[in-house]
Amino acid sequence: MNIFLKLLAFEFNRFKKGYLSLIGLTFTIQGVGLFFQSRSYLSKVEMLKEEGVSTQGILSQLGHFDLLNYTYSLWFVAPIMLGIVALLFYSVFIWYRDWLGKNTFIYRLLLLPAKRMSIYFAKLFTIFLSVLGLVSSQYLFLHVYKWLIPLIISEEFTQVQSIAQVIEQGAFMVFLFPKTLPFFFFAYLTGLMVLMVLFTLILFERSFHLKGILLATGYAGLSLFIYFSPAIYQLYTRIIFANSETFLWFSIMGIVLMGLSILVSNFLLTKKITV
Amino acid sequence: MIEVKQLKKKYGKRHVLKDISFQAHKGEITCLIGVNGVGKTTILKGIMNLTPLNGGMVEIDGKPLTSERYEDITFIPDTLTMMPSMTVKQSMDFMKDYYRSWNPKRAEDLLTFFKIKKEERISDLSKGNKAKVNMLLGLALDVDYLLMDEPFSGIDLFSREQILSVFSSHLVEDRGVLLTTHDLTDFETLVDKVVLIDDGQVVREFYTEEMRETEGKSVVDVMREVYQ
Repeated sequence: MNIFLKLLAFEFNRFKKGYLSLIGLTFTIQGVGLFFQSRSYLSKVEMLKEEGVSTQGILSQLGHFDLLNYTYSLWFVAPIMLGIVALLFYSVFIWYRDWLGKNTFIYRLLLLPAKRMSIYFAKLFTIFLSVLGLVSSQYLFLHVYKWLIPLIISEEFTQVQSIAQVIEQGAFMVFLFPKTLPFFFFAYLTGLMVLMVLFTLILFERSFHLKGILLATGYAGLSLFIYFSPAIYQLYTRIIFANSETFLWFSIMGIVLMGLSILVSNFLLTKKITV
Repeated sequence: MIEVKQLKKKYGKRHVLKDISFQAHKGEITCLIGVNGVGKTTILKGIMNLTPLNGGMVEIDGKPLTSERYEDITFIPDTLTMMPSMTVKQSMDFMKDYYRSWNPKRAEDLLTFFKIKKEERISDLSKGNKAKVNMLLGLALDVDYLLMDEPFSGIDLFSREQILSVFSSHLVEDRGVLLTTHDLTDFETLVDKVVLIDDGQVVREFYTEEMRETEGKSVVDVMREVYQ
């Protein structure tokens, strides 16, 4: 096994506990939320029934309790937001924890008999695969919730929806599960690009310290400019691209930015990094 | 042979290394000596590309040193480079996983020699034991050259003696050792070659045996001449 794969396994192992906790927390919060939401719905149904309201009347007042509606509740959305924030935090922490405090593990990593970019790619793909893992687990959880709802709510007050329908119309679902394959690649490669730019900013700071913060700010500005240059171009020339053209331009700019970030990070890691 | 050619390093406007050139040979213990802050650690870090240099180059056996050659040369910093949460065994396993030059037999020998328990956590080790584990992780690699930064700093007398005995044992023989220190008191007799650094430059470079025979001076005598 080459050093990159070993490092990837090593990095993933370091994140394992936190990552599994995050998945567990997502399932717990969403599961508990589903329980509370459905109980609250049922108690309202009971109340209306006691008042003599017909099933049709109840449905017109409360609507159905279904998975699609549940995806719009805070119980469902909050753990997704928490996951995004946690992974963003970990994207920064994954570098700094090897440097700061009593930890000098960065010495060991930089002294490995391999290209230093192996460290960069191992950290990058640890985060990227973690994102994919979280999204996959969310997909599985949707199936669990779909199975659970008819067990809690009687048939007349719920409606059967396919997971595809929930993914198509649910809150945030379009970002987690892009509808078409090109859009899937576009969305996840954009995420990878953002991660690469973030890693480059961290390496600027780790290489030049205070001066590095200024350079990182400059690089962040340059990245924004490169990525949004198609939009800026349209704004100034008032030439409006077709959707497919805009999509293509953003894709090209994303690839340019990824290439640039790899080149700059490689330069910083091999020529400028300081421990 | 480690050949250091015209190393230069600036921190802001301060020239820490102005023009450092020297050689360290296989089978010899070469000692970089200088007062605190003279740039000894910077030289070792510069050799291992852990700090960017403003000029100069480093060659190992006639070839430029790249990270792929870290199977031939290793650096033992003055701090233990494993994660505090790891046990000694996990640290050894880590080295075994990543270095082809890891010698498990030698690692076990060193473990016995230093009387360290494998299952102990790094964070629970005393400073002396941390220094020993650090030494173990470097010495158990079958490398040609070892760089050591202040291997005796801040450790107790007994740990110091134990580490010192490594230098005269089979664990180091035939390898080239380049170490830094600001205090040569205990191991002057073990050192083959001395490179004295002052004001960012090499001020004296000599073999200790030769110095004793030709000028009748110890290393400490020469240090007094240079630094006082």
